[in-house]
Amino acid sequence: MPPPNGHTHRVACQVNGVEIEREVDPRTSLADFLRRDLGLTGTHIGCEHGVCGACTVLLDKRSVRSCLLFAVQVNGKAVTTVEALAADGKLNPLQAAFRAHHALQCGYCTSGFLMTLTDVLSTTTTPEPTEADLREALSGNLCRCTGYQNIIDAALDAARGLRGGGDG
Amino acid sequence: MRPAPFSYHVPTSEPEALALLGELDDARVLAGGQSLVPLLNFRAVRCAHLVDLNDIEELAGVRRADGRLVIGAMTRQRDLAESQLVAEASPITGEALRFVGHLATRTRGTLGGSLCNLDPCTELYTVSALQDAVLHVKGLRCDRQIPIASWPSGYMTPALGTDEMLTEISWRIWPPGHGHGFAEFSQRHHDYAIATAGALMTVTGDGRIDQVAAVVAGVAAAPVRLTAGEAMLHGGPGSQGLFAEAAQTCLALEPFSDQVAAQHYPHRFVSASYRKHLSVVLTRRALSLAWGRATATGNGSGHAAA
Repeated sequence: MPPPNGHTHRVACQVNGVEIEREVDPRTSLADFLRRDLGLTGTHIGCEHGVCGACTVLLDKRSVRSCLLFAVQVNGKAVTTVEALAADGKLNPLQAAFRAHHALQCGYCTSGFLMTLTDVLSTTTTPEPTEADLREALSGNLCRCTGYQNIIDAALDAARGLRGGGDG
Repeated sequence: MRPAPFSYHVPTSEPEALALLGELDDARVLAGGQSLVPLLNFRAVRCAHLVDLNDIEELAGVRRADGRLVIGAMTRQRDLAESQLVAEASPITGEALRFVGHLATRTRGTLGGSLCNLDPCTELYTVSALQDAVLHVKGLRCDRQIPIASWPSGYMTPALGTDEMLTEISWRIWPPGHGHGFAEFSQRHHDYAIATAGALMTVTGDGRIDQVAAVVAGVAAAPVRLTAGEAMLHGGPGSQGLFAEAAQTCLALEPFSDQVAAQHYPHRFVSASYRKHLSVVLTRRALSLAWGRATATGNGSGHAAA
């Protein structure tokens, strides 16, 4: 849909390793761009003001709120969404841990948790995270279904595994 | 909810940004966006032009110069938290940043943006005030250095003209081994703070407080240096009694009005007296923490608080 003042902007970026080029209304959020323009509906929109974490994606490998970025702002950058985690339809170790520990019910918050954990667990400056570390790191992701315990169990499991095998 | 329409500009240099701010009417600066974009999404803020500073590399970075830490306004909160230079020169910063948003918001949020947004409990403002911050503001026709005490002109309103922008902030570097303490209270963990307190302290070899800075936030419209409390502490041997006495000076602070409080806390009643009570408790805790660190084995005198 063209913007009211008619001015679109070109955004050329990489999304999950694929070069993308589109014209967008500058008001289009990155979340809406991913979902509507690119059909990547794994990223979910919860609050649109940065609090719930459902929209979390990676921008140049660091977690960000896609509801608080305009699509035009990722021009020249690399975006990673939940769709990039499984390779050839096979769950990655983090996703497998979520499945094994029943760390999701409705799944709405799950992609946000997975992207936050992908960032957190790939940090090489911290030693193996404790439960307290993970609860702190995940405090920006809200879940209405699970009560968090299984998410934490999955995250601890994945942290142990990923520490052994290099960056996730 | 989506923002009202705006024209988007993304300058790639500081002069280009200043030129845009000088010529455009009804323009707002986009820094990290973690506070501004929600306001745009809710249409609480509308602007004809948005000037995005995120592509101006020279506006970000941390360096040491003339005994001060000089930090570009666009430096990300996350980069401050992960900076070795900041960890060594200003350990209170990492402590305070634990309370600032979440990992994903710290990836984008900036020091300059926080100081310009000027929420009454801005943790980075408290940290800046403790370290005698000077704010460098530029416009097409001006280039000024503003001491932090002169920065707020009212509730969530910095002393910044519409054609000006904050470019960098400098902090005094405290001596190695200084003690720091930071305490915050919110209704739920990681909520916006209701009150915060910070303290920095050095202690002499014979157990006396030498240099001390204490700042409390949440009572007034912006964080305030507790100069009366600092005077009380200077030269004294640290003790819980002394910290409590100094903390009592918070009661003399001028709180922001009930009208502002109703706007700032729209869904609950947070009275000035409650905020003052919290500020006394948190100040005492921050001073105690700073003393403990300043007197830890290897720092200062090693004396414990009486």
